[in-house]
Amino acid sequence: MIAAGLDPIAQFEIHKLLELSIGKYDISFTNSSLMMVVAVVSISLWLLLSSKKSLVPGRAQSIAEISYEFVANMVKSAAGKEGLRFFPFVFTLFIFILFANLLGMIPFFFTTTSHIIVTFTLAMMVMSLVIGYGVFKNGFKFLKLFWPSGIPMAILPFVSILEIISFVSRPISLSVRLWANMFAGHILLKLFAGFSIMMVTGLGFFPGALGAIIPYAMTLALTPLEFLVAFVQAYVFALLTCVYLSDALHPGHH
Amino acid sequence: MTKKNGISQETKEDPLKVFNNKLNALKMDNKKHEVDDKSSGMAAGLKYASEFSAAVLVGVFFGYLADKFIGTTPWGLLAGLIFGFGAGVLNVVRAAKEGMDGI
Repeated sequence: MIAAGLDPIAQFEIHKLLELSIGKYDISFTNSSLMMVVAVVSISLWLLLSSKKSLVPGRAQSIAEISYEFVANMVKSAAGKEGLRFFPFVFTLFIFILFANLLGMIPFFFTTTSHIIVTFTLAMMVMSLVIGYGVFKNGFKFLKLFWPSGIPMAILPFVSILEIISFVSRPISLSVRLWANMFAGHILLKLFAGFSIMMVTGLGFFPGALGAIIPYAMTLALTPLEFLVAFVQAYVFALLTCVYLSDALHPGHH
Repeated sequence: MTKKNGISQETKEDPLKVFNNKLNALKMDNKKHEVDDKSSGMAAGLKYASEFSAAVLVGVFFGYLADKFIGTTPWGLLAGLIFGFGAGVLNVVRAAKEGMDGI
């Protein structure tokens, strides 16, 4: 009974807020969709309100400018100057994931990126852009990605198979990495916070509060780490997007 | 006179070296801004684990598909598993080469 409400997995439950369906497809508005809307609305408000374009930027504007430069430099270093045409896509992806991760750090908020289907959808968007643009720009030369040069003919077919498997595994590893970090981090936080509550409710205030110090300290130590992870994982996702996009721009450049 | 002396002494100090020192200092400064997350070993673990296991899963899936459509029942799965292992190692090596340790 003590553990009621302390279940570390319960925070990932999806609740339907509004039942909707098209035909037999369930497109209900859930708490996950609500958090996505909150993320998008807060991003739009931030960008719209900070676009006064004063010569000496205020706080919000300089944050917007810094994030622009940060993403632009990332795209340039990973995908070259040509990659800048994908800047809007990468920027949107980065800021959306960053906001979704950071909003999830607020107590009682839902973390959309802690569901693998969300991150997998984002990763599939990236991969379809890579394949679509790669084929559109390079035509058949895009297949050079799977046919690396400078390898003896005898083992080339095997290397090619490995390259294909490696390419197909990209969206999986990309999405699993973001999802697993958010999922595991939130479980850890909830677990240690739950321990300290259980100590007090189970042992009473005097010995319980003493015992609660250690899990409480862990929670305290994990919280900034989770903020760091929230940022770093958004960064990694965007950076890997750039790396994959550079494959679409220059196949056979490994 | 003294001023002139000061300037000439400064120039004697090899301007290239001075410039190099400044550049290095700036570089060090910039390095601090790069994402530093040696603190999160879990992220590093998840990175390599996801890279490796994703390739194995995809290889097995391809093998399974081959089995289903060509009818080579156990062999496709086995070959897919082995190729998936290979691709997983390739992925891990690439991830390590990216030099984003801990990310």
